[in-house]
Amino acid sequence: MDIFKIAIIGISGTLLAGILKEQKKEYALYVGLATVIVIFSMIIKQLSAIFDFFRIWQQDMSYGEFYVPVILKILGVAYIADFTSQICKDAGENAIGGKVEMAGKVMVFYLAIPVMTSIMELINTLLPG
Amino acid sequence: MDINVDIIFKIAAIGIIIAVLAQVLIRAGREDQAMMTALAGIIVVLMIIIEMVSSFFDTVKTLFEL
Repeated sequence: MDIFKIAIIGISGTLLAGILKEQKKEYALYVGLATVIVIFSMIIKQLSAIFDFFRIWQQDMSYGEFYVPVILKILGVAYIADFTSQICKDAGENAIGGKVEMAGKVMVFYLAIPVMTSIMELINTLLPG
Repeated sequence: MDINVDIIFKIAAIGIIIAVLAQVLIRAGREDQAMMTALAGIIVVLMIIIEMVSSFFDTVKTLFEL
């Protein structure tokens, strides 16, 4: 995973977006979106290797099957919400970006509810009386 | 489709060409054709972007098991 290639792509995308910003504002946004997606597609291999590690780690833990999928889901929701809100803010639509971010937070909290309930039960069993 | 890097340069090239073409057509007095080329450019770039975003979302969906 050569970080330099990613850095070069990011810089060139920024420069191209800068060039296009004067004549055609919307093309700067398209170039930005394309750069973001290309950079993400370059790290997919490493990301899937990390998630394979999570799955192996999941078998070792006794209660892993319950928690690791939740962690992955929360990661995905948080990443997509952040990706979308930054693209919206980049285009100048701060209100839409803020709302997408808020929706992402609500989704993450919703996904975390089962984990919190199991923690509550654990605490109840530990506390005497 | 979204793996190769030249998509960024393709989109930027389309943008630059459309901007130049629009200027030339406006100078030549054909504003309507300039609007047409601008629309055509936007449609082409949107087709590429939408296809990239959909394949990107599919990858994320399978990766994060959403």
